[in-house]
Amino acid sequence: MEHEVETERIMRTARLAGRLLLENGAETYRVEDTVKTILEGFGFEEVAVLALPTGAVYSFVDEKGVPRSEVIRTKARTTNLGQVAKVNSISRGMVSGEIALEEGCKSLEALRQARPQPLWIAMPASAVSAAFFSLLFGASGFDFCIAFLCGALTRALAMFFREDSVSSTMYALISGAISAIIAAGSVRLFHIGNQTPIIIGAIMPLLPGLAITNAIRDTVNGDLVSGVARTADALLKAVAIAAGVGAVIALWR
Amino acid sequence: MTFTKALFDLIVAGIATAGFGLLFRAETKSLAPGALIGGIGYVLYDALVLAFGSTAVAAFAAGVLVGAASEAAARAFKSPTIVFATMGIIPLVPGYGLYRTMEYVVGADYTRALASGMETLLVAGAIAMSLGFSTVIARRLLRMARRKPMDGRLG
Repeated sequence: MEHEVETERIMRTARLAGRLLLENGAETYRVEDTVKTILEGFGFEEVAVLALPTGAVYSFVDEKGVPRSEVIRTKARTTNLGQVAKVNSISRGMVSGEIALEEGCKSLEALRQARPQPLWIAMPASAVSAAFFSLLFGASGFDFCIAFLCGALTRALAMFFREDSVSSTMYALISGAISAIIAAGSVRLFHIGNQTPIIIGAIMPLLPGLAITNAIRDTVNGDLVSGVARTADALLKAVAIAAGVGAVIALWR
Repeated sequence: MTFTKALFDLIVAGIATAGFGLLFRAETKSLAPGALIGGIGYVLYDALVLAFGSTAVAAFAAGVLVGAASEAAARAFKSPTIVFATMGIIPLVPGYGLYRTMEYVVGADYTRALASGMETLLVAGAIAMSLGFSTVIARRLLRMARRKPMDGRLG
């Protein structure tokens, strides 16, 4: 009976770690590796893990020789590099024995409860990023300020969208369109500046940087299904942004 | 390309990268190294575009540098490689090419749109290849370094 409680706790920890990594944008091999290391680290045999961008399955043989397995399904996908780093160090600590199982499980639970990024950080971060990218593409002082505004507004807009895949594609489309409306509108209104660097600066923070990085790393690692899926995801987002910008420019010439 | 231009690129691309990193919630300790990698990668990219005129070759070389620096930073700062690689490649991502392509499509200039679209895809492919390349090399070197003291063979 005591064994059973222990097994449940280990499974719960592995499931939590896997889910957190999947939802926050870790590469496929990191999800598989982490779940596998936790289960093997606590003495289970014949551990097998299969992770995909939308979920994971694992199976192992428990101390009585009974095979067990579990499915982790995820819908929401965000990018939270800090969470990935934290889950990584907690699971390493648990396996090396520096962190007790119970304590590690609690820390993972706490990470799961983590609040979304507050707007007062997200808006300036996006605004600064957009404004400085526009400078790289030859923005004037005026363009810089408008790109700053675009970056802040598109991030505020994100609050109205959920984090599943349909919503995030719609978000890419709409925020591309809004950036183009602000850029084209302000250039026409004040008769100064150039809309090109403003729009490029504004769409840079929207581009799927993590999806691209992960698509490459997954493919190189031999996780072909995830690699292709993430490439499709990145292309879809890029096309959605371009379509949003394009529609506005086509209508407002 | 003057020194002033390089310095301007380094600082501006660095700040833009740091903003991007903050937006995607990188830990505070990773922001400065990530921004530096992004800035240096962009300076190299810009210099190579001016020197050779090929955006794909420049993106590949800069991508190799970003990938290698990210692998090194991951070990130095004990944080996953993707944290640094995601930040580092963002200034290289062909946002300008995407915009140009779309502008040509809107203007029904499909010949130029095709050329611009091809170049954009080529740059994206070059970044992908370069990151993959440096990941494989870094892992190989690490495995060699680990195995060496044990049995003296090159693995």
